[in-house]
Amino acid sequence: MSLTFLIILALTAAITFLVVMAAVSLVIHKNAVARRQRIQRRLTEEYAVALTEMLMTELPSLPATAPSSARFRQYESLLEPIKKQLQSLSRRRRRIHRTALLEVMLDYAQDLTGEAADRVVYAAYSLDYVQELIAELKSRQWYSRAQAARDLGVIGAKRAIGGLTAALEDDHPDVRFQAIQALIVLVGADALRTIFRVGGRLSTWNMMGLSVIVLRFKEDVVPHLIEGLYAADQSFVLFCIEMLAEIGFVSAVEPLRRIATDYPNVVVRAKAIEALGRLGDERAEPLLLKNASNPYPVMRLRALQALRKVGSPAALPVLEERLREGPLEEKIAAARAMARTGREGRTVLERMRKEEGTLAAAAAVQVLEELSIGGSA
Amino acid sequence: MTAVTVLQFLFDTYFVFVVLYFLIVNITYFILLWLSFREIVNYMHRNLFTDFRSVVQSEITPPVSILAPAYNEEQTIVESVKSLLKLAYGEYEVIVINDGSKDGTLARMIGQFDLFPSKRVYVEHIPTQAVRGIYRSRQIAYQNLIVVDKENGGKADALNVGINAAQFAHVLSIDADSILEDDALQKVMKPFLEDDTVVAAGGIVRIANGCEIVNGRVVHVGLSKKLLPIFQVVEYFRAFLSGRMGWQAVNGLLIISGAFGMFKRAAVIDVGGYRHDTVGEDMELVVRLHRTMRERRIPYRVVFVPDPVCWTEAPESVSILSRQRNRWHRGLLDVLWMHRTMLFNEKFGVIGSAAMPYFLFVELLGPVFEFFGYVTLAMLWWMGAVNVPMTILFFIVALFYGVMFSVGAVLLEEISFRRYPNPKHLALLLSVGVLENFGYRQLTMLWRIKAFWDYARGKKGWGSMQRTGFARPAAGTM
Amino acid sequence: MGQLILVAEDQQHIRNLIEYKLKNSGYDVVAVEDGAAALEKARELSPALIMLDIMMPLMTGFEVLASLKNDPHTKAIPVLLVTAQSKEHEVLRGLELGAEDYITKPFSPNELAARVKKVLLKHTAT
Repeated sequence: MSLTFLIILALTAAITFLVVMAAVSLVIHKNAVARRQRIQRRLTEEYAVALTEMLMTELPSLPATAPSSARFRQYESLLEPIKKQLQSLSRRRRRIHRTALLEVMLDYAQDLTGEAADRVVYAAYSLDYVQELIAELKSRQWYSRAQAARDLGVIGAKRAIGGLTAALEDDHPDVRFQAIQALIVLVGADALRTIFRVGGRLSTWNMMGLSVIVLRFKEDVVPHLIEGLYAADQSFVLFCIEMLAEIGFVSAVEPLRRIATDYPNVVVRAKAIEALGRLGDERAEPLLLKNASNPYPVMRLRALQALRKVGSPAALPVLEERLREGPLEEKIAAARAMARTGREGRTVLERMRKEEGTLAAAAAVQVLEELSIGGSA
Repeated sequence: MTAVTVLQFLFDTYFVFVVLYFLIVNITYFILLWLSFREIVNYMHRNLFTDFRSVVQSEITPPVSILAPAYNEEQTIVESVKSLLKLAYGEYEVIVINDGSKDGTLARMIGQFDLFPSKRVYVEHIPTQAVRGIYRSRQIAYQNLIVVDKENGGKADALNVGINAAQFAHVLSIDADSILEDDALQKVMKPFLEDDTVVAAGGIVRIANGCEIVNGRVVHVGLSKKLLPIFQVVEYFRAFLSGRMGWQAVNGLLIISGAFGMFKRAAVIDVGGYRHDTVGEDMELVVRLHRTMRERRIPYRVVFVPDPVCWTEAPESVSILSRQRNRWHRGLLDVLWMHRTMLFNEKFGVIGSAAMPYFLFVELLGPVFEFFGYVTLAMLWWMGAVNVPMTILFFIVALFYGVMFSVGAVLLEEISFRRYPNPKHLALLLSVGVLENFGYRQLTMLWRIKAFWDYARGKKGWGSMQRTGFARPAAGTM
Repeated sequence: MGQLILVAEDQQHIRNLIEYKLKNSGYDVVAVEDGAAALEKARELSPALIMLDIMMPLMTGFEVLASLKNDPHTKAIPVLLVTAQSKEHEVLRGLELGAEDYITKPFSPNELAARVKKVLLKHTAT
């Protein structure tokens, strides 16, 4: 009995000791982090001043025929004081300083364009930051890889394009997304071609983030999106369909029609149907009407929802059939589409409402009510 | 062999058992704490690369139906609803279910929001008590508000009515007095958008007592001046941060708080909605979801978002707190009993082999074992046969460890969300983490044991839960 | 000596940069961190030009602009708005409220100086 007891006591003491150590080291760690942050803040202020000088110092202008190396020599001379300062430090302190300097450079890189931005990019290369970050793209920690991808994009380091392209196939979704973002910043809309070819596995969440970036290019991105409709990775096809619908590029109607008919996956076909509706082009109407009786429920629903934006009185017979026969979701979608067709549609709804007790009538009533509020219909 | 020696032997043996039991419990806690720590660190890292703006602006953001059951909330309902209508999200509707309130809850809403009886379609996917009417607003500003009036049937029944009435694919169940953060919808929707096998997501519920609340939003985080809510703050840290986060890491999350939980509507209707014959309806639904998905071998996930998304009012008086804990324990007992075939059944994976046994032996029976541990100790002392080393060991594993884990939970909060940055608050929370094991914990233990007794006697209801509602003053008075 | 320019910008590194560039270009510069300080200094110093960031905490650039144009002491001072990412509606709103011109982030410091010069020339001519 007493031996087991001693063992238990020893185990307990050991675990307690470990837990106490963990708690204590956490507190110490927090304090160390806080102190480091204070130092970092002071350093960023100092380097902000130094970098401002580097960026803003007037340089003698060069003739138009001068090679870029002449320019770079000028920039290099501006970097002298910073380089000398960094070299004079011990290895450990240099690392802290370099982190602060990088933070400042990233801030400036984000907000500047023109010649000042060129200087920032040059400094990033000359101070070996680009090299370091490209190496970080292979770090074991996903957040280091993601951070490196982001920073390379912000700085504008074109040399990193190869490494970033490889990162498009990273295991971690956040790394892949940062790589996509960085490539778009570095190369512009043309990056999409590579992205669609190499990358993949975009979640809906990623699509939303990417759409914000891509939409900034407005019409310039459309040719890439149309090309992307043929991407091998399905998530990109969905993304391109979504983007074309949102941009409202009506010439996409043809390729979208083909996808709605021929693409092997029903989710993608349904998405194409939805997009056709959002594009609001009446040429899509026959296809939508046909799909309102598609055997797949998701196709029918999307077609009905799309008809809300594209439907004409010619659609009424099909819509009425769906209002009577379909499940509730389809009834409501059909009723809303009817309302949109104008007076004829509303007449049909009033007629349906009289068939009291049926679900179809209830749907008609709800939609008529929505119209009167001036709300969703 | 006298009767006394036999008795003493029994007590001794039981005492050893209790010590071993607590040792195992503490090892389990330690594992959970470790898993939670890693999950939270990962989450914080992911937050650095997350931009929620795209969710708010995008056209493909899935619309959400918020379900808010209300019973006798006439004082606060208008305020609550107004703040729900102002969340930072794209398209969503707020469905308030008036569960047969005896006061002017419905009348106040009709007046304030210019409601008229609506013919909106209602299909009874889940059977419920009778629905008396559906109301919408004439004003465009409130067009996303839908009020359903029904015969009283309890919270679960009201939620089922809400599910029936909702027309979007995702539903968010909340309490009418839950205070949501502005970006709560964005944060809890993200898991669904990243992985379409997610069927349910819960969020952290924080304690609002002592916080400054303006227009239904927490603008300044503080601690109550009363001690009781502060004990609960630490408890909630333990339960949410170091408990649920850990379980989520192994897809073994059994509870999503009724105060804040988002579900795929189709999945909930599929399993039959909430059960209205149990007080543990929020946990029961999640367990049933696990069960059904595993039985059908459908890949799925239940996730937990550690970001503070929801604040709630904690009981400030001992009597109300005891009734709440009594109800929670009866609910737990109910759920474990209803799904007892899942226990130790490998067909149910981690749920059957780890999560449910944990809830049974640690959460449910823990107070019982502990209680009889004290009883045994007293008996041995009275017999003059106290085994001093064992007793010391008992106090170490039973009490001292509790200190460690409460402190661990508070520290987890410190490294992540830091909603209590004031060092005085932190010190208070840490000391409470220590103190709670010398009195408060034993108190909850007694309440939970009484819950067994009440359950056996067939007590089924909620008891009266007095609520003060939203705009409580910053100094927690009641 | 040089004309006085008041710069309101909450981000320190941008503020430093703009201040440096303008000083190099021969102007006197007073830089403030937020909208309230901008209003105060505008009334006190009557600068020749005010450069106003739109995205500032507490008081946005629009609110400051509106206040400036409502106050007889300051309404004649030309305002140059700094906006993010060329948000068209922001630009239009700013011009409607009475801003003279705008520049978007990311910006080129040379271009900034050129804009300032243009606005000042136009304004002193009238």
